[in-house]
Amino acid sequence: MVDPYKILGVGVDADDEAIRKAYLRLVREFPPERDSERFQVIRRAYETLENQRKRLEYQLFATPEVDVTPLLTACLRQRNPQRLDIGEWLNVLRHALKEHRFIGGDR
Amino acid sequence: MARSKRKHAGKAVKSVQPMRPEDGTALLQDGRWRQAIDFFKPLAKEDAQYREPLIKAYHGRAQELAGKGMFTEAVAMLENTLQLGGPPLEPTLYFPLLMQAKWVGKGVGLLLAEETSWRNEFPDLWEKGQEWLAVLLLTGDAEVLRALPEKSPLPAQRDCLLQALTAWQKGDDATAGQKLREVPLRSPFRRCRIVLQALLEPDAIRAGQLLDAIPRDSLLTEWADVIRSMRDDPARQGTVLQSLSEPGFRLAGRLLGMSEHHQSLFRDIAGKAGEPKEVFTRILKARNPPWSPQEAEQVCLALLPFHPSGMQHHEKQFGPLVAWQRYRLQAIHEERAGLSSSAVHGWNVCAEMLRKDSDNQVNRLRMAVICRHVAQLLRKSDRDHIPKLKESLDHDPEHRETWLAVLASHAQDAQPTERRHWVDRALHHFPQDTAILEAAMDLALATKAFKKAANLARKILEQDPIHGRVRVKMIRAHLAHARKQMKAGRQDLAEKEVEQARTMDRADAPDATLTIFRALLATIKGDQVVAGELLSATGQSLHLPLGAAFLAAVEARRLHLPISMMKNYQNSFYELLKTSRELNDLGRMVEIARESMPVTDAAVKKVLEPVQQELQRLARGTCSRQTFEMLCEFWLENDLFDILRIFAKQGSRPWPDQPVWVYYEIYAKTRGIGKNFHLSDLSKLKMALQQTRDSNDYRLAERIHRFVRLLDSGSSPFRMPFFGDFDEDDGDEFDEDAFDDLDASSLPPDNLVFMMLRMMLDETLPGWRHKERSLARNLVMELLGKAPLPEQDVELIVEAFLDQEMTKFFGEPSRESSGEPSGSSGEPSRESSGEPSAKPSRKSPGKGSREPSGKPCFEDPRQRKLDLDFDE
Repeated sequence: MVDPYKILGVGVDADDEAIRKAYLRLVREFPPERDSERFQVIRRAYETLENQRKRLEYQLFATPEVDVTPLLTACLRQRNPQRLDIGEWLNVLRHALKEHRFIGGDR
Repeated sequence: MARSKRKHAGKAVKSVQPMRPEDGTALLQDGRWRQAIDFFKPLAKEDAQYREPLIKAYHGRAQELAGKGMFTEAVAMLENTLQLGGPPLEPTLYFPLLMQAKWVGKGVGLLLAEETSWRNEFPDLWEKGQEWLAVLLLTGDAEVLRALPEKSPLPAQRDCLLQALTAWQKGDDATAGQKLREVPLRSPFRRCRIVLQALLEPDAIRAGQLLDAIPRDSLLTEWADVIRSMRDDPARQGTVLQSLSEPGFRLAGRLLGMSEHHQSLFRDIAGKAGEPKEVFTRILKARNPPWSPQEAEQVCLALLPFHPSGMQHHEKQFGPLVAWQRYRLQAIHEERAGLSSSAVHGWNVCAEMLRKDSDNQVNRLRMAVICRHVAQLLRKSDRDHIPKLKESLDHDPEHRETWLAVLASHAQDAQPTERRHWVDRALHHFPQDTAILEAAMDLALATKAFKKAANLARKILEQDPIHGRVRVKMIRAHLAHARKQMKAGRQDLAEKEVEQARTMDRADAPDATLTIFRALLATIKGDQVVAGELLSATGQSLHLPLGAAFLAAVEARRLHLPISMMKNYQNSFYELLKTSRELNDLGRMVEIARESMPVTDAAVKKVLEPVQQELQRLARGTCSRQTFEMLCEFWLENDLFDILRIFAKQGSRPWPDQPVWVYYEIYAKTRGIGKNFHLSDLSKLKMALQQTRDSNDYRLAERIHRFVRLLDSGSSPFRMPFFGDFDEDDGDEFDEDAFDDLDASSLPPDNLVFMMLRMMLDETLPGWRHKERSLARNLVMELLGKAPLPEQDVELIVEAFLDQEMTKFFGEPSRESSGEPSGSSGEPSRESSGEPSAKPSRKSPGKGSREPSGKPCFEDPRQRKLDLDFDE
C-alpha cells in the first residue's frame, strides 16, 4: 500500500481543504481520460484521507510501506555541490552498456 | 563430455530408427530447435530440400539462445543460415544480437554500411544503433574506433563533447556551450548533446523539458536522472537517487556534495527499504546521523508494526511511547498475524487508554474509529458486533453509516422498545435523513402506528419525491390499516385508508394490491361492474390475469370477506388455473405474489391447498430451473408441504442428482420439523450436504446443514416425543418428563417456540390426548412470555388456534390484566411488543383496533363463524 499522503503530496497534518485542493490539482493534471490508472490511484488516496475520520482510520490501522524518504532527504541536507571530471560521468555510461539490453532496457 | 555423450546418443537413435521427414516437421512445430537442427543437419548435407527447415531451426534456436542471454551463440546460429544459402539476415534480429554479444566492431560496421536503408526501413533500430555507437565512442571503445572509416567526423564530435564536459567541470560554461554547439544536430551524439545542454541550462524548467526528450530505455537515462536530481528539491532528490545504479548514485552524490558518510548511510537505508527490521536497526545504530531525532522517531514508529520486538529499543532511544500507542502497535501486529481475539483485546485496551483523555475531541474520534474497527473484526469472526457499533456512537454520534447499521440490526426485532430507542436517537442526530426517516417509518409500520408512518413517509417524499420504496411501503401501510378496519367492521374508515393509499399510487404504474383492494371494496358494495373492471385492469397491468385472480383470492381471505364472495374469488382463480397450460405462468404468479405480499401468509396456504391437483398437473410442465426452485421456495415458505413434495420429485426429472431436491423432499416429508423422520432421510441429507459443499453452493449447504442439525440433535428435548422412532400407537408410554425437564429459559428463540406450537396443533398428530395438550399448552404459555415471536408467526398461530377451536386458550385473561406480572421473567407484555394479545388496549375506545372489553378483534363471533363455515 502506497502512502496516500505521498500520492497527494500533502503533509500528515493537512486538513480537509488542503487535501481536497491537492486532489483537484492532481485530477486536473491527470484526468481519467488521459491516464485512468493514475487517476484511480489518486482517487483512492483521496478517499482514504478525505475527512478526519478516514484520516484517523488510516493513521490508526493502515500499515503502508514504510517511507524512508525523510531520512534519505536528511542525508542530502548538508552538502557541498561540486563539478566532477569526465571519468565519473563515463563510468555511468560504461555501467549502462554493461547492464543495458539493446532491446528492452535494463536487465 | 556431455556434448559427446549427446552425439553418441543421437547416433544410437539414428542407427535404430530410420529418419522420417514428418518427425523433423513435428520438432519444428513443437519449437524443439536443437533436436530439429540435429535432425535436419545430416539430411541437408545429402539433399538441398532440407536446407530450408534447417535454416528455420537455426533461426528458432538463435532466438531461444538470445532469450537466455547467450548472445554469442545466438549470433553463430544466425550466421550458419548464411552458409546454407539462406536469405540475408534480418537486421532487427542480427544487429541487436551483435551489439549484445559485444561484437560491436562488426555491428557498427553493419550500421554504417546500411545507414541510409535502415534510416528509412527500420527507424527505431537506426536510432538505437546511433545511440549505442555514440556511447561506445564516448567510452573509448577501440573496436568501434577501428570500425569507423578513416574520414569519419564522429571522433571529432566525440572530442567536442568531452571538451564540453571538461570545460563545465572547470566552471567555464561558455566554452562548454560552444563545444556542444559544434556537435551537429543529426549526429549520433545528439542525445548526449541534449543531456549536457540540460546540465548547462540555468532555467530548471527548460532543463527538465530537455531531459524529458530522453526515452526511459535509453543508455543516457541515468545521466538524465542524475542531472534531474541536481535540480529537484531534496524530497524528490531522495526518490530519484534511490532508483540510480551504484555508479549513477556515486556520480549524483558527489555532484550534490554529499559526504562519503552520508552517501553510505543513504545507500545502506535505501538498499534495505523493504526490510523493516534492518532499516530499524540501521537507524538506531547510525553514528552521527544527518537526520533529527524526531525524523528518526517518526520512521521507527512506522516500522514498529512490522518489527514489534523493536519496541523496547525504540522506547530506550526515543523515550516511552504513549500508552494507547503501545497497545495500538501490539494490536496491529496481532491483527497482521491473524490473531483476531488478541487483536480485539488489544484494540479494546487501546480505546480504554484513550478514554483517559476523552476530553480531547480527536481522542474521542479515535475511540469511535477503534470501536468500529473492533466491530468489523468481531463481524468477520461471526461474533456479535452491534454492541461495539453502539459504543462507537457514544463517542461519535455524527457517523451516519453506523446509525444505519445499528438500525438495520434492529430491523427484525420483535421487541420494539430497544429498536425505538435507537431510531429516536438516530432521528435526533439526523432529523432530515431519508434513510433514517425510512427506518423510523419501518418501525412505525411494524408497531402498526400507521399515522406516524404516513407522516414520516410524507417527510421522506418531500425530500425525495421519486422514492419508490417508501411510496410502496406507504401504500402497503394504508392497506394494512384498511384491512384492520375492515376486520373490525369499519368499512367507511377502510375506504378512507384506501383513498389515502391512492394518493400515493403512480398513475402510470398502479399498485396491483391496491387495485385489488379497491375491487374487493367494490364487490362488498355490490358494484360488480367496477370490481370486474378493476380486476381486469390489474390482470392487464400484470400481463397475467391468473396473477390478479390469485391476489384477489388471497386478499379476500385476508379480509375475511363473506363466504360467498370469498368462494367467488377462489373459484375465479381456480378456473383460470385450470385453463392455464404454462408452468411459467405459475412462476410469474408466484413472483407477483412475492412482490405484493409478505413472504408467508396463512391466506396463501388456504387459497392454494384446494387446488393442489391443478398445481400437480402444472408441475409436469417446463420452465427454467430458477423458476422451478422459486416455486419450491414459495411452497416451502407457505408450508404447502404436499405441493412441495410433488415439485421436489418432479424437479429431479429434468435436473437429476441435484441435492436441492433431496432437501425439499425430506423437508416436505417431515413438515420442516422432522416429523415421521427416519434415519435413511438423515443419511440422504448428509450426502446432499456433502454434494452441495463440493459444488461450492454455500447458501444451500448452510440450509441443509441447519436442517440436518435440527434432525440430528440428540440433545433436543423434542427428539423423543416427535422424531423418527416415536410410535404414535404407543401413547400410554408417552414420556411426560420430556416436557417436565424442559428448561424454557435455555431454549433457542422464536423458531423453536413456533415449531413446537405447530407440532402441538398439527392436525396430523391426532393421537395427542388431553393430557399432553395440557402440558404443552402450559409450556407454550411460558415460552410466549420469554421468547417474543415475529408478528406474522403470531398471526399464524392465532389462526391455527382458531382452526383448532382452541380460542379459549387466548380468551383467558392475561396475567397482567389480572394484576399478575406478565411472564415469569418479568419481560415486557405481548402488547408492548406489538403482537396481538388478549389484554385490553391502552388506546381509547373507538380509536384503536381492539375492543374495549379486552377481547381481541379476532374473537368477533361473526368473523370466526365465517372462517369456520368456510373451512368446513
